[in-house]
Amino acid sequence: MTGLAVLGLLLVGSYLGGFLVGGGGKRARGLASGAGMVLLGFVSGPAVLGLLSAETLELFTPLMQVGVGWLALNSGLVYGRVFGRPVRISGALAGIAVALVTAAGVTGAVQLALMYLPRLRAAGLDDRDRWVLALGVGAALSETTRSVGRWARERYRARGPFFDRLLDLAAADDLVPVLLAAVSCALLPLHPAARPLAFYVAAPAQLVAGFVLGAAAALMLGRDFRLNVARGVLIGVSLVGIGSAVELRLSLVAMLFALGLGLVVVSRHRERIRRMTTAERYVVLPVLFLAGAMTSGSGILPWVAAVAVGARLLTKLVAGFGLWVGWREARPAGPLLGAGLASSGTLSVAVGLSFALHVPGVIGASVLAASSLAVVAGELIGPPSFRSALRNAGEIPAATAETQGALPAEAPS
Amino acid sequence: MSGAGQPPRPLADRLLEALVVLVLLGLLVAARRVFPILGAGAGTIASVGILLLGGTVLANLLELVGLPHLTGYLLAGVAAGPYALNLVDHRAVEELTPVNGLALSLIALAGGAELRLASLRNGLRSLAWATLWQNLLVMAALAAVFLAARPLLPFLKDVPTAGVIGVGLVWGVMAVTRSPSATLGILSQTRAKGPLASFTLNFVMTSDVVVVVLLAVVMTIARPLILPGSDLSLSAVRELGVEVLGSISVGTTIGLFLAAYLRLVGGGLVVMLVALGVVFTEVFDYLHFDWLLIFMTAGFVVQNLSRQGERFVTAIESTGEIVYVIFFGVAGAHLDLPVLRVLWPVALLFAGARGITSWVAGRVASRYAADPPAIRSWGWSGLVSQAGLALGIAASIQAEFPAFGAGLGALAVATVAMNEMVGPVLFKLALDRCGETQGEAEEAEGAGAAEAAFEP
Repeated sequence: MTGLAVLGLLLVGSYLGGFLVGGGGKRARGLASGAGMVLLGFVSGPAVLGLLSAETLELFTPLMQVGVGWLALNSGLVYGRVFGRPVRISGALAGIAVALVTAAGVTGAVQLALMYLPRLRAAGLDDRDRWVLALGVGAALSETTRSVGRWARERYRARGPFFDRLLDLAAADDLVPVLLAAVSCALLPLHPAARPLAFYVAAPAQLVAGFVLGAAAALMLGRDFRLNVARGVLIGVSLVGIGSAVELRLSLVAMLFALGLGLVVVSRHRERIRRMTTAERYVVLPVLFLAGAMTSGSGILPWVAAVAVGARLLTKLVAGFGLWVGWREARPAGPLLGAGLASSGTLSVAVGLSFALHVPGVIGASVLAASSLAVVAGELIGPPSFRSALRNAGEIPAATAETQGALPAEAPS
Repeated sequence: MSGAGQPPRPLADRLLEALVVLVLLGLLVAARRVFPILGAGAGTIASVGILLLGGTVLANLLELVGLPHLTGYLLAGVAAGPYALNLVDHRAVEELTPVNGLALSLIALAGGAELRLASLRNGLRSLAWATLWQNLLVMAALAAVFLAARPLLPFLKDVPTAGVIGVGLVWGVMAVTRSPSATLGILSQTRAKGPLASFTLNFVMTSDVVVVVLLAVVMTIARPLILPGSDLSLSAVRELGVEVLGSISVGTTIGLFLAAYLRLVGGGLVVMLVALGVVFTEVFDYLHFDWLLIFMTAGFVVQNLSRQGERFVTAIESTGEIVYVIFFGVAGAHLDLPVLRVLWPVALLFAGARGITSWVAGRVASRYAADPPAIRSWGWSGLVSQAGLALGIAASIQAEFPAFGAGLGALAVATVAMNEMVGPVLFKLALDRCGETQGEAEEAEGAGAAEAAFEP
């Protein structure tokens, strides 16, 4: 398939995404499956049918970088908010805690597997590379996608205190993958021309740089909001941020997330800025497709991915059990609540893809393979369990659950 | 788009904005100095960002002294480009060509959609006389100036007189090219309405077809003069017929498709337009169609053969000034300052001669057409801008006549650079003087709707 044909395909994906992803009300009811797009990419890519060659995919590197950066920026812009309201502190803390537990479990499992499984030891990674890989996988697999909440609300009209807590949890946990991505990238050397930095300096530096860039953009927007100025500044600053992150070999996800956060924290026009970024829905499907196409299944990758996804499910179950014990509203949902948190989404894929672009070779490919598998596995387990937990908690209206329960449990990315 | 009709953006905001951008650019320049090898790979992404930021901010500052936004975009491109700060290097400029093509195709669509049959019909007399005089007089005069300036053009030293006449004729055709993008950029910024705005839009958009035809005819005549061994061949005219008619047919089909799409689906139009701009331009190039003409025709068809015109224009406008910032920013970065530094006296001669002849041709045409005072006094002002089409012709001449093509190409770049910088300023000044800059879309108030419509 030529580059032009792939581009056409991506534009079709982008076009469909404009209708199927995001938005509100009826438009989002037939949500596209993020996993479906990842799988489609994987099957079309060099790993299976080879309709897209590695050389063709390489042509799209700048597009992937911009897509990943834009998704991360959007996550930063909407961080701490869900359905237009701020998340509650308790829910946010729970979200961060669950994501940290998951990340720790996944990172630990991958690290142990790399050290002790003979098949994985044969890859010959040194200490630093092992940590980069394990932390990268931990970062990519730690979140629960916030889209699963939107899916439940728009398809099943879910509502209630337990559902609100889950929404808060999913909306707040994005911070963990971002921080871990920053730490993991900080372990790697910066651009050869740059002076080496200790990782405890490099990690926060990426976030600070992004935040400062966002704050600078907010200052440029000034007191008087003008749409044309805002467009130029927002897109211009984002592209400068993406370009700088790639050139200096910083974490694209961390820097752009921090940029988005800096922008909405400092600017008085934050609501208008959030409204301006509806373009995210046009980016999602092409990025998922390209991530799938970039995913490889050779060498140690399936093993790393399997260990990571297994550990993720286990730790989500443990964390979910903790929530079941700790939250009064969660009691009716049952102790297997954690399975409902297994959905992983675009941020996970964005982290995986950013690693694949940032660290070519076994490390980046492993993180991407794990994140792609997590999206597919999460799609199979997460949405039905999430729906079941909400139904048990009485937060899905009976009529909706009965009439629509037969629909395929297809969740958004 | 801030300007007439909208309360002016506070000075403090503009200055703060400029200060922040200066600091950011300073940091980037310092980073490049400290790490000279930075720039590989993602240079292009950052370059678009720099052009967007710099262009947006500079345009806002220049607005204070009444200069058009386009001038700000161009200057930002020049400043960031490879001949000044080198934040946007040669490679990035080359890699931005597809983005530029996309911008140009959207501009062509917008241009076609702005052409209304009623307006064309009302201004037909003015348009016909202006087309005649502006093309023939400017072409003949500039060809004559070219011949007269022969001693100043070292690259023609070894070319016989007949050959110089042939090159002069081609130069004359280059001189009658105008810039639809500059015209639309100024009209988009000022939302100008009135006889001058309508006349300029109608003239500039239709002149593209006239120039393509003129070029084919002149090349048929000039080739045997420049290359004495070659025969007079009408094949170029035949190919032109195929190209123009084919492009109009394809454009009509696309226009009808877009109209049907708008009526039946409506949503996601900008992505559809991007697909047309990115994918189809490649296909049309391969098929040797003129894609500018195709998109202009498509826009014209949607506007005039369906009821979806206004909706279509609104959708294209939702891309805002971004298209113009990128297009003119890249054009600014493209400006070859070293060539301009060397050739500016000769370029100034040609640019001046072109400006004066356009003015004379405008006065003569207005007399025949009995134009209203606005067109009589200022009708020529919108015809000074030049951009891509002239450079495209120069590039094809360079390829066809390598013996002197490089020198001619450099001279064309220098001359177009001058017209590119002066033209938009003149046109905006004329619109202001005629009182046609009525104000812009009330974006500040209606931002909610516009934001919702904003798509990548």
